[in-house]
Amino acid sequence: MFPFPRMPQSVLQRAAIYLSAGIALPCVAASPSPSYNRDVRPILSANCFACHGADAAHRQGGLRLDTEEGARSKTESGAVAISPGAPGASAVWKRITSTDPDEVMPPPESHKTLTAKQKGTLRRWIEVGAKYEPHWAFTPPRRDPLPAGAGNPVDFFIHKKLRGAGLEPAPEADRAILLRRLSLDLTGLPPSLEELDAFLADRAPGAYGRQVDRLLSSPRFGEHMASAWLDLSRYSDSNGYLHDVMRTGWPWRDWVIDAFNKDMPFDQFAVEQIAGDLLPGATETQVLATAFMRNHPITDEGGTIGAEYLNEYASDRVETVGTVFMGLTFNCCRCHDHKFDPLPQSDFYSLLAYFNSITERHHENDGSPAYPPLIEVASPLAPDKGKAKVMIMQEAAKPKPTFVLSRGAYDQPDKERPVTRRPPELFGAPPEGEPANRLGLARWIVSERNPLIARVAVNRLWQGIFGTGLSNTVDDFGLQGEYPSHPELLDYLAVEFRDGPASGGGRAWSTKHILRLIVTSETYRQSSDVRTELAAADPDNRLLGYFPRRRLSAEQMRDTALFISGLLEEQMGGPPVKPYQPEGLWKEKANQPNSPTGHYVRGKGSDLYRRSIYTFHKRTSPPPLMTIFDAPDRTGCSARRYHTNTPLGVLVTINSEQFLECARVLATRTLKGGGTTDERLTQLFRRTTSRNPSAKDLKTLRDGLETLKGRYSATPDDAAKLLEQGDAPIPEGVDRAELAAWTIVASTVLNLDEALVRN
Amino acid sequence: MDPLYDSLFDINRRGLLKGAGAGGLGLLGGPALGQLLAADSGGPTGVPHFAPKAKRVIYLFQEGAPSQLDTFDHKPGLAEFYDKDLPPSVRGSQRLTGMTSGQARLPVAPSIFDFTTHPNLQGGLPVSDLLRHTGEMAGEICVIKSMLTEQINHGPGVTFMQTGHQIPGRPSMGAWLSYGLGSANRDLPSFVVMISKGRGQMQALFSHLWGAGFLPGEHQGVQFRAGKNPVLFLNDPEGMRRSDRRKMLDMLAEINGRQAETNGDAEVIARIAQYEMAYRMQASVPELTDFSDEPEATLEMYGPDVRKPGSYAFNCLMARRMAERDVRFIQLYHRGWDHHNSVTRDLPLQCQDVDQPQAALLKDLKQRGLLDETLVVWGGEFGRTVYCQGNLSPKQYGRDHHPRCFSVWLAGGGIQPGISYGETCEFSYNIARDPVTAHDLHATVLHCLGIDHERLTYHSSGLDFKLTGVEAASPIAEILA
Repeated sequence: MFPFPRMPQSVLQRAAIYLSAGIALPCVAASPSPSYNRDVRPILSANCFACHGADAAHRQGGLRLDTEEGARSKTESGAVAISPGAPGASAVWKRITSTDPDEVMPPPESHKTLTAKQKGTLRRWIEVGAKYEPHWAFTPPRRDPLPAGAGNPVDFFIHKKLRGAGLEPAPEADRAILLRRLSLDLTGLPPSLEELDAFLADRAPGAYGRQVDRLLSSPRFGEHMASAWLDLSRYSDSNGYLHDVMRTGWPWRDWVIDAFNKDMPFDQFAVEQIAGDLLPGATETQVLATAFMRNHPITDEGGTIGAEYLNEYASDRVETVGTVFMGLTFNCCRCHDHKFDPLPQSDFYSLLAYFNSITERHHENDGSPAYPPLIEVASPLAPDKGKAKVMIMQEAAKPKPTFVLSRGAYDQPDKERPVTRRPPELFGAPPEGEPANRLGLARWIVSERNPLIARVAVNRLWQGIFGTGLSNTVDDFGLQGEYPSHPELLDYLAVEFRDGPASGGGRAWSTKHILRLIVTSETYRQSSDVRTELAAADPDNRLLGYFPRRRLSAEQMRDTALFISGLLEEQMGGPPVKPYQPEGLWKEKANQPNSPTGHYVRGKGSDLYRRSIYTFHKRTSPPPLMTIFDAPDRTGCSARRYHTNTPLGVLVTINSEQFLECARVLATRTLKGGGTTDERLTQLFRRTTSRNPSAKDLKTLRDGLETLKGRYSATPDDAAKLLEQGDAPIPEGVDRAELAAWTIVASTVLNLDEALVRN
Repeated sequence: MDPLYDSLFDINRRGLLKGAGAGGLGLLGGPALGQLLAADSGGPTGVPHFAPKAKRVIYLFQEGAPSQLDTFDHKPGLAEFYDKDLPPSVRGSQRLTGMTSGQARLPVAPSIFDFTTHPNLQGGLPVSDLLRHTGEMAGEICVIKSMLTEQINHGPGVTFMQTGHQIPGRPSMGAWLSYGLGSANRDLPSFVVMISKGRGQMQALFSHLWGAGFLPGEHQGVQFRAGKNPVLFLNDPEGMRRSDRRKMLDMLAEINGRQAETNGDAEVIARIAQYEMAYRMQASVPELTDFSDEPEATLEMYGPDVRKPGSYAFNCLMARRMAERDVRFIQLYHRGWDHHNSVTRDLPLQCQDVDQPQAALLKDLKQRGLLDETLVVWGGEFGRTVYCQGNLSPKQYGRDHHPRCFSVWLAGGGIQPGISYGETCEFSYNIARDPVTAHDLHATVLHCLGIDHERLTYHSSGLDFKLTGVEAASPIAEILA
C-alpha cells in the first residue's frame, strides 16, 4: 500500500494538500485487505454517516466516522471509536456486534442493519490498521503509462479484470450486428441496406475504422448525442408550472447539436453554457449558449411570490451545474449541511451567489414565450428559419447580497451567515486571478482543480455506450456514489479526455476521441450473446464479459422506424414540430385551452417525419411516444434513463398511428422492391434488423403472410380501413389486400425484439 | 389461466432470477405497467411492513381547493361577523396571495348555505346541504377538519399533496405504492388516473402529478381517458380483427423465441410476455369500461351523469370496477373548485357534480364488501379564506386560497368510521386543535396499506428519499381503526 497523508482537521486543508500538492492516489487493485474506498466507505456511508458524518448540526454522540481524526478521537462517552489493529478495543466493533437494542449500531429505529459480511469487512479493516483514504472522486485522476503493446486502454483494463476473475472475453460480434450497433450508438439510426452491404463487402484492413470515421462525421451524430444533453439541461419548449406556456429556446437546442457535430472541446462547451455572456468580446452564439442556465421551468401563475421563485430558479442552476459538471448532489445541502459529503450548507449558497444576480424578474399572467434577459437570434443550424427570442444570462449591475437560507426557505435568510461567491470549500481557496463571477466559476469548473468534471463526463459517455456507467451512480460521485467497477480505466479515460491522447497529437476535451477509443475496442466489438456461465460471478455483467444488449431509447425507437420505412425527413434544426399524437392530451390538462400550448395542433407533411429531438416538448404533457419509453419530463436535471419493457410500450409500437404508418410505408417499399416473396421478406427483415432471417424465420413470416393475404382478399373493406393510417399517400395500382397483409407482416418485423433492441 | 402466459411467466421468472441481479431493477422485464412480474420487480423487500388493513386506495382529488367553510367546516357563529373585518389577531402574519393582498378590506363572508347534522358516532356531523348525499354517509366517513399546508398556489399545492414535495419531479403517492407493493392483478395497471372536468375555473393538471419521479418508469400512473381509447393506443386499427392481432403476436413470439434460444437473454422472453399482457389488456380494459353488466339500480345510484364517459360519476363507477379488479391505486381528479369570484354561484354546481356519485361509490363498495379493504380519500390541495375576495353582498362572495386549514375525509379500510378529527378556530382560519400535515396524511394512507412511511425509501441523487419528506410526520393514530 502507498502511504497516505494523515487527514488534516479541516476539509479546506485537506483539499489543499491533495489538490495543490498534486498528490495522486493509486487506484486500488483487488487485494485481500479491505480497501477503504472500495469496501469500507460504502458500508460506513450507507449506515453510519447520516449521524456520524459531515453534518455537524445533526451529529450524534460527538462522534465523526468519516475522518480518521474523528474515528481516533475520544467520543463524548470517553470511548475510542476505532483503535487500529484492535477490534476489541474499538467501540465501533462492540456496538455493531452488540445484541442490546439500546447499544447496537445502527440503532433499530434507523431501519438499517449490517450483514455478517459487512461486519467481517469492518473487523478485518480494523485489524489491518483501519487506514482511511481520501474519497477517490475528490483526488485528481491519473493516467499511468500503459505497458508496451498494451493496445487499446479500454481492453487493457477490462481484460485485466476479466482475466483476474478467470474469464475470457467473448468473441467478436457478427459484422452485420456490429455495424447496426455502431450506427445506433453513434448516430441513433441503424445502417441503410446500402451501407450494410458496402461494409460487408469491404474486406480490406481498416474497414471497421472507416465506418467509425464515417459515422462520427455524420451530422446525425450531433442529433443523437444532443438527447442526453437536453435531459441533463432540462430543455423544453414550454415553461412548465401552471400555465406551461410556449417558450422559444430551440436555437439553443440547435447550438447543442452543432457543438457535438463540430466536436467543440468539452471545456469550451461547458464555459460557454455557464458564462458565455461574460467572455471577452462574447459573440451572439456564445451568449446563446447560456440558455443552458435558463432552461429550468418558470412560473407566471397569478399570486405567486417573486422572491420564492427567483430563489427556486437560482437553486435549480446550482443543482444542475453541480450534477452536470461535478457529479455532486447539491440538493442535499440546500437546507442543511450535506449528510454524506463534505459540503456544508454554505457551499450551496456560495454557488447560488454566482447565479442569483442576473437581470431577470418575476412575471404574473404574462404568457410570454421568453422573459428577459434574452436575445433574438437565429439557429446556428437553420439560419433560414427566422429568429427566436431565447432566454439567456446577463449580469445585473451589482451582485445581490446573499445569505445562507435557514432550512432553505426563501424568506429566511440568516443574516449572520452572509456568503461570498466561491467554489465548494472542499476544493480549496477560490481561484486567484479569475473574476468572482460565473466566468471565474466556469474556468474553475474546467480546470484541474475540479477533479470531477472529466470523470463525470467520460462516465456519462460510457453509460451512453454500455448502458451502465463505470460508476453506475452517474449523478453522484460523492461518498454515497458507487466505487467504479474499473477505477483505473475511468481515470485513464478522464485524463485522456482532459489532456488529450496519451499518444500525443490529438486535442484535449474531444468527445469524439473518447467515443472512438471506446467503439474501436474489442470490448465494444464483442458478441452480445448472454453468457449464462458468467451469471453467478457477475450477475450484472459489470466485468463486460459480453456486450450488454439494451432496448433503444425513446428517440431511437421512433427515429429507427421512420428511417427503415424511408419516411424520415432529415432536415436539421429549426422550430419544434408536432407529429402524430392522440387528440386531447394537452387540452385535458391545460387551464388555458386557447393558448398555443392549450391544445395540440398536429403538423403536416415533413413535420410528421422529423427526428424526435425536434418534437415539441411540453413539460406538463410531454410527448407520449417519448415518455412511455422512459424519456424524462424535464422538470429537472436528469442524468439517466431506464429502459423499461411494458405493455404500454407495446401498444405504441403495435397501434400508434406513427408506427402503423411506418409499417404500411415499409410494406409499400418492400412490395415495390420486387423479387420473390422470400426475397422481399429477406429484404424487409434485413432492413429492420440488419441480419438475414433464418429459414425458419422466413417460413413463419411466409405462412403468416399467406394467411393474411387470403383473409384480406376476402374482406376488401377491412383492407382499405387498415391502410388508413397516417397521411403518407398509397401509390396507385397497389393491391390493397396484398398491401394490408404486408403491412401486418412489416409491423411484426418492426416489433421484433431485434428491431427494438441494440444487439 | 392462460397456459402460454403461465409458461412465459415461469420462464421469465427463472430467467430473471438466473440472469439478473439487483442492477436489473426495472431494466429486465420488470414489473412493467401492471407489475406483471411482481415477484421479480426489484421492489423493496419486507413490504408490507405489517398486516395491512386496506389493499388499495381510491383518491378522489378535488382540484382547485374546495371551500371548507361551505362544505364540512360549519361555522354558524360567523353570521354575526358578516362584512366585519377579519380581526388582525386571527389573520396574524400569514401570507396572502397576490390576488387579495392588495384588497382594502378583508370582510368576513359567512357561508350562505344550510347545513344538516347527519348522525355519526360522535353525535352528528354537520355537512352543507350542497353535499346532502355525502352527508348521509356520515356514519362511514372520518372528516379531518384540521389539514394544513405551506403551499398557497395551485401548482405547488397539488404537487405537494400528490408527491410530498412542492417542486415537480418526486414520485407520486400512487407510484410509491406501486413500487412498494407491486401489482395485485395481471391484466390492468397498478396505478390508474382518471380526470373529470367541473364547472368552475379550471386549473391545470400536470402529468408529473402521477409521475414516477426517480422510481423506475413503470410505476407512473396510467391515465385512463374518456372515450373509446381509454388507454393510449389500446385499440387495434380498424380493419384488424382480434384474429389478425393473434396471428401477428404468434409470428412475433415464434421468431423472438428462436432469438432467445440463440442469445440466451431473459429479456426477450420478458418482451414476449409484455406483448401478451398488452393483448389481454386490449380485452380487459373495454370489459372494464363497459357498464352494460351493471344493474339499473346501481347506475341510478350514481346519478344520470354515470352514462357520460369522462364525468365524475362515470369515473366513480369505474373506480369501483377497478377496485373489484384489484387495481392498487385509483386516482381521480375532479377539476374546477377554484372559486375566487363566486362561491355562491359556482360551488352548488360543482357539488352537484360530485355529491351523489361519491356517496354512491361508498355505498356500492360497502354493499359489495369492498369498503373494508379499500381506503377512500377525498380532498383538495388547500382551503379557502373566510374573508371575501371581490365584492361581498348577502348573496354573493368569492374566496381566495387559504393554506392554513382545510377539510379532507377518509373512509374504508383502516380508518375509524363516523368520526371527525381536529378543529379550526371560530373563523376557520387557524387550526385550534390537532393539526394534520399533508405528510401526516400520506403516512396515514401508507399505514393503512401496511407500510411504515419511514421505511419505504428509494436512493437517488445521494439521498434516501421517502414520500413523507424530512420533517417529522406520523400516521394519525386517533383515526386508525
